[in-house]
Amino acid sequence: MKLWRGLFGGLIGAVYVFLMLPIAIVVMASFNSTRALRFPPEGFSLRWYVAFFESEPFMESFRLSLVLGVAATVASVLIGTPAALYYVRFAGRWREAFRLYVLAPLLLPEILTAIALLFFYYQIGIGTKSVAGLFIGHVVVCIPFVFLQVTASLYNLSPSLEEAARSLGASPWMTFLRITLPLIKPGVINGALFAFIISFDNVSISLLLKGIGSTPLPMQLFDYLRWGFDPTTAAASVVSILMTLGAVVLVDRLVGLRAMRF
Amino acid sequence: MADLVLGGLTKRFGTVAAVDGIDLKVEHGLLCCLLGPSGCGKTTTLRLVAGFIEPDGGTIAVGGKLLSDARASLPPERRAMSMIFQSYALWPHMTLFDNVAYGLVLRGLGREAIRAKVEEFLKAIRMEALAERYPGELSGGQQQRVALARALIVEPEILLLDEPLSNLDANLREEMRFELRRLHDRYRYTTLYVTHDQAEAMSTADLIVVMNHGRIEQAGPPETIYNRPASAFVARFIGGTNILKARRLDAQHVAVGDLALRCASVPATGDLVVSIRMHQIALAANRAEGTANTAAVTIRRRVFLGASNDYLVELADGSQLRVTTTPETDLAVGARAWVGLPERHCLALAE
Repeated sequence: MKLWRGLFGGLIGAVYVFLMLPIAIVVMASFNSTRALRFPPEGFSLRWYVAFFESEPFMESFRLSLVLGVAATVASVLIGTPAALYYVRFAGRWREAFRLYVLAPLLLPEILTAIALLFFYYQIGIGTKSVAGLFIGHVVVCIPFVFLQVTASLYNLSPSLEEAARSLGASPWMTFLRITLPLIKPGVINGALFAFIISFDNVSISLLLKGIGSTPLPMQLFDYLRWGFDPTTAAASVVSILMTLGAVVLVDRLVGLRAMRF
Repeated sequence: MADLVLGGLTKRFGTVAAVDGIDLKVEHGLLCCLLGPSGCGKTTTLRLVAGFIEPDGGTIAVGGKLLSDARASLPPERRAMSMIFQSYALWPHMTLFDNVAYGLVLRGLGREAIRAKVEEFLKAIRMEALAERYPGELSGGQQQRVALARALIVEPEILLLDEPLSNLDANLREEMRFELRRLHDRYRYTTLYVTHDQAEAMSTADLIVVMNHGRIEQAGPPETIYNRPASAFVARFIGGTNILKARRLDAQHVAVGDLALRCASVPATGDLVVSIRMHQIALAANRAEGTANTAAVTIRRRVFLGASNDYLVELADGSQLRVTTTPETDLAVGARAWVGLPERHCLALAE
């Protein structure tokens, strides 16, 4: 027993090292004081962070990714939550078809979704001239994550909680606001978190749908790496990681723990 | 006056009629139990009355006002009914106070009026000390009492209960039966109560409606349901009885095996059974003089239950009867004895 437990612990440790080590290396490399992206780092400096924050293209991309991430999150929550509600509570004959339809962007390779959208945009004439196409692409791949999280919360929510409110005189909308929504809040928040992270470091959709002059941060990094190989990219990666981590911690502090109280 | 009237109420799921043309009238202030096995349509009937589902045919009216027919149905929030659920359905994100107050908040009452009324109702269920607790911190019995207060505080015309005691343990269930009846006697709402537990129905209801396959088998006060079951199904479901296959001889007699029994009345046609309650059978070592409806039996099993003895006896043709006697009756297993089956307690029923 003890031996097995030790082996199992070792295995899990190894998996974690495998997953975390590259990230740790990037973080360390970002503090390099030399021009080349080296590991182990030589010296310690914040010059690459300064370089990142002073670089106009990087900052533009960073702002775009933030705005795009927040907008895609809001839109996918506004679409994914009602979709989950419809699927769990009301869908009839086409229930499973509906689920597959919503989850399709997750089930298909993302690049296929991007190609399909690209063709579609050119067909209807909007092309990739505006950021709207990019936004729609992000929303499409974010919706399944919100849908899955909210669906799971709804399955754990007894319909009689909603029926009790209806029988006491609450309209369907009031019931949703005061009963359903507070009770599925953890699911909605988790879904939103997933959506933001998915959008913030999305590559495949952005690769095909980004317009001229509107390049999200991961694409900007990608382009930058093609020409140069200095630690600015590492600094940019660390900032991305901190963004994502920050979002998780912030949400947990603000609503996560309280939402779990009962 | 909020009497509840169902006329030819029908609900189909696919090709199955879950509720199949029910006619029922519950007078104002009565507590009516819908009793039956699972799948008999009792819960569907309740949900139709509540407005959670819409009927395929028939009508639902309260106090002469039509709420549902096959064409139109008033939504649940406009029915002036409160429903109580098997799972209590208290909202876990609200305190007890907020749970109970919610119906009044929806009706736009002022804060002070709400506070006074909620406190009155929490007192009525003896839980005023726990007002700021969350439902997750309460026992099942406490939760169901809060659910009752939450339902009663809005002064519904009709109170609906869906197996409210099924999730409680046996002792608590008995206590809650009396609590339910006490609150009903105090507030006198017309009540529709769904249960599969005949003891629960017997001890709480003014009117029992026994249902089977979406239809009403019998409706009447508990005494009638118990003493005069209208069909073999009702007799079996209420329990505590022996059911024997029988054949009609004439208007007064049936044959059970080769034993001729004199019964109060015998249905003219159809397959028959005879129902005889276990405690209405006389069991003795010797044959009672000059009585009809007696038979020789062999004692097969005896269980001492403290307040009574429970015997299993076998007739000459091999069919078996359960007999409940006083604890003083002392007959050994394997002994020969006589049973007396009083005529007025032998009920010949259509199968």
